[in-house]
Parts: sequence; structure tokens; C-alpha cells
Amino acid sequence: MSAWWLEAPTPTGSVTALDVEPVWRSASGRVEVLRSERFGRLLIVDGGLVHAEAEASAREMLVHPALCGRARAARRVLLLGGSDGFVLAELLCHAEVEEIVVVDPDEEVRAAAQPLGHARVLSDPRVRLRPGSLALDDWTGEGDFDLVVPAAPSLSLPGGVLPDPSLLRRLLRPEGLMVDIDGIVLTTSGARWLRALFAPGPRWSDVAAALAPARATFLFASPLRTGQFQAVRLHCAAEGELAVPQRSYFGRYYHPALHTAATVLPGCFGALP
Amino acid sequence: MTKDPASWWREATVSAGITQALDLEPLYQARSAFQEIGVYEHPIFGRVLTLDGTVQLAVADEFIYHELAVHVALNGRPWSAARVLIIGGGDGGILREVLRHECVAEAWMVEIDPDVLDVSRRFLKIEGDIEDPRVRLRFEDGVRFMAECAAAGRQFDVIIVDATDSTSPSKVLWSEGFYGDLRACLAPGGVAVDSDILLGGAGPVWMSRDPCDIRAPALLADPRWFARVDLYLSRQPLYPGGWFAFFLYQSDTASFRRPVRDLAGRFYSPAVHEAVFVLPAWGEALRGEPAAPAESRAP
Repeated sequence: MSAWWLEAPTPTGSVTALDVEPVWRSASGRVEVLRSERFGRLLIVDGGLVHAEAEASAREMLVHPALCGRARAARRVLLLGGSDGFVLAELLCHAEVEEIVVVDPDEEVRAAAQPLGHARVLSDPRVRLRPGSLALDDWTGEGDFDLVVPAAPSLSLPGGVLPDPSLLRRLLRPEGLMVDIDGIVLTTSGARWLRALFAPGPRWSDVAAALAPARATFLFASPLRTGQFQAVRLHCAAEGELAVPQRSYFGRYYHPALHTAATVLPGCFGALP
Repeated sequence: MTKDPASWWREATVSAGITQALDLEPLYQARSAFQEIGVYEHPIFGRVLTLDGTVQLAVADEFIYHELAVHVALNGRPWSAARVLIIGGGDGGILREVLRHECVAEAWMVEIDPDVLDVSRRFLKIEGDIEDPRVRLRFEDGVRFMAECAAAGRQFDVIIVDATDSTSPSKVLWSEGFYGDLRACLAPGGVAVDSDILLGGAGPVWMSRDPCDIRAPALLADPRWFARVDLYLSRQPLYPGGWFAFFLYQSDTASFRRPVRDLAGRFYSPAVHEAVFVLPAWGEALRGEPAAPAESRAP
């Protein structure tokens, strides 16, 4: 039987409501899988909508601009969070990716992979689940990663567990990319990053900025995020063109022409730091 | 701001399986001769106008819709002494943007509900200068006005349909008769701009056009109506669950995708003009132009 699910409060004063049926719920109730007739299976973590099966824009933009923006193929990817399988499935679409190391301490999110239909994604031979916290403080050895992708909702919130930028610098190749994603809210006093509306405190964006400057910004909109646009930024210590795709990929949302078009920022977003 | 979204104002778009709740404080609510008009205050988005329980605009981001509805059509051709007709447009935002173009000689605005303009001028203050000598303001039924123009052979270079959802007084629009009159009222080389919320997810759904006589996909595919129908997309942050799609109903087949003039809006720019025509992969199929062969797409 369907019922209206209402997103947990956000600092934008706007939340999404969806007509859903329950599918699965973790023991603590923190993580749920719901089903919407229009958007398919939904992953809910701590009352927030993380992914929808039939709305792929956010996870495609999290992955494909980074993997297509450089001529050199990304072979090793570090995924922080994301053991639900949604972002992993996008990464696995790229044949050049040889290994994806997933660090996700959230066992309840990992358990959601089964009801989400992603069990096969997690068992792909290119995927390696690595135990440990998002701080990566038990990491030993070099990383040699081409790409770091944040997929745990807690990374975007103040007060969450974060890795140290100097550790990430050691794990990333010199020309490696780090992805950041955030909302953009048009307020009566101008455009603001969504994170600026939350309580202050370090979060993933600070880690990315401390590691390297943002070299490209891709604007997009996820229809399930009411009241905001979204932007993905690619941080990299090495200079280089990222706005023109060097590799071709066609997803349900992303394609090469969209890659370049997404870097066109309207004037009202130009003053964002 | 109250903390519990369950107590917030809830939009009336429940039939789509998705809606939104907003932290709104009411400032004005009344029923006009045609519809329920509401004005609310939001802590982030400022004043919000609703008609029949659906969000029409928020002061913080109204310029996205109004700029894109106007400037793509008016910057897509080298108009001179252009005659522009606005059907609806009672909040005044479309008129404001139209009047920015020196190439506009006449700006007709035909709004069925004078209360929308009165309330908007009182609470929103986004309207253009209705005292501008180029403005011809009429309070009457836009459908009837179009029919009279079509019968009289009066034509316009640019017609902008700025109407509400098909659940409101606008439900008589988007019929065979209306499209016929729209086509008859377009001058040679003319274009009409229409728009709708495009719900994403499992197969696109047009929020307002799907309950109509002629649905958007049929219109896009059927050359009986217009020489060319083009489509561009944006996002209006407080329209739930959807992309915001603009249609260009053209009397000829020349493209509007390249701007011919420079213009710096808050959202619009010549680069944005070109970028909004680049649709997501699933959207390219809506106008019959797949971004890639189906076999090369992700599963």
C-alpha cells in the first residue's frame, strides 16, 4: 500500500514528497529502500533521498565528467561510501577502470544493495571492498589512484568523518582527480552553496579544496532535489583542460555534448566562491 | 523556520506521485473570478506566488523562467520592429524581459485575470513598466483574443504563452482550435514559445500537456501544426520533480539555437542560449534526435 514519504528537513526550507511503497528497512531503521512508480527504487539514508533508480543525473555527473575529461584513462578509483551500488554501477560502465576500491563503514547501506538489485555490482571482479573508516586513517602504503569519488551522504554534512587532505594527496596520482558535489541555492540575496546554509563545520568540500584547486565546474539539476541546482567540481593539482570531453561515453543522462554544455554557468552563479 | 516539514505548505501536484513541501508563511490568499491566488513568504526564496495551489514563481529565481521564455526567441532572430504577444503573464515578469529588447515595437499582454497583476504588483514587484508606450495591456480571455486575431488576419512575430497548468483557467488552451489560431497568428518567420514541466523518471511525462487534446509528443512529431517544433530545457528550482521544457512553435524551419545578439541577463547569456538546447541523453529522443545510437548507450 502506498503512502506519502516526506524528506527530512533541509536548510533550504523545501523538501520533496513522493508517493511510495516500502521495500526494505534496515534493523535500526536508518536506511530504507522504497519504491516509487515514477522513480523506481529509492535509497533513503537518515531520512534523506540519496539515489533513485530511474533518475540518474546526479550519479552520472559524479562519475562521467571525471572519467571522460582526461585523455589518460583512469584505471584505479577510490570510492568513499557507495556500497549500495548506484555509483559503482556507473563506474563499472567504463571498461578502462581496472579496480574500484570501496571504503564504506556503513553496513546498513551495504545491506541495502541486495533489495536495490545491486548484488551483482558488488561482486564484480573489479570491485574491492576495503574495511575501515572514511577517515582512511588505517591506510598503509601508496594509493596510486586516478580518481576519488565521494558517495557517502555523511561526507557532505558538517561533523562527519573525513580523510586528511595530506593523506589523500599521497593516495592520488599527481594528475589524479578528486570529485566534489554540492547543491546551489538561489536565495533572495544571490546564489549560495547548499553547504553554506548548514551549520559551519568541515566537510568534503573543504578536503577537496585543501587538496587542490577546482579546475572545472559542471552544472546540472536533479529533479528530486527541490529548491536547488547541483554542481560537480573536479579538483586537481595539475593544470589541464577538463571542460572538453576527451573520451566518449553515452549514458541515460550524460553524453559528450552535455559534458561541455554543463560547464556553461549562468551569470547568477558566477559569484560563487 | 519550523522544523517539521509535515506542517509545511504542500503543493497540489499530487497526481504526479511527487510534490514538495515548503516552509511558507501566508501573506495573501483570495479567490479571484478565475482561481485561488496566494502569496507567501519563504525564508530562503522570498515571496512565492501560487495559483490554484501550485507554485508559479519565487522572487529569488523567477528570472530563470522569464529570461529563457523571452530571450531565446527574441535573440534567435535579427528582429526589427517586432510585434510580441503575451498570453497570460499576469505577474509581469515576461513583459519586463520583453521590454528589454529595443527591437520590440509592440508588446501586447492579454491576461484573463486582472487580480493576478494587481496582487503581483502589490506583493512581488517584478513586473515590467506597463506604462511603456510599446505596451498594449488587455484583460480578456487569451483564447478568444487569439481567435479574433486569427479571424482578422492580425499576426505577431513572437507569441509567448505564459499560462498556468492545465488544471486552471488555462485548461482550454492546448486544444486543436488554440493551436490552429496560434499558427494563424504567427507572421512569416514568427515563433511561439510555450512551456511545461517535464517530469523525469520512468518515461517522461508532461505535467500540463498530457491531459490535453493534443499531447506534447504528438505536437513535436506532427508537421501539420508547425513547420518546426524545437525544444530546450532548464530547471526551475521550485517546480517539483521536473525539468522545465520550452517549446518553440515555428512558422519556418530556420534554427533559433544560435543567438544573433549579445545580452547579459541574470541567468541568460549567449552561451546559456546555446547550452539549453543540449538536452540530456533521454531528452534528445523527445525531439527525435538521439544523442547516440541506441546500442552505444548504457543499459
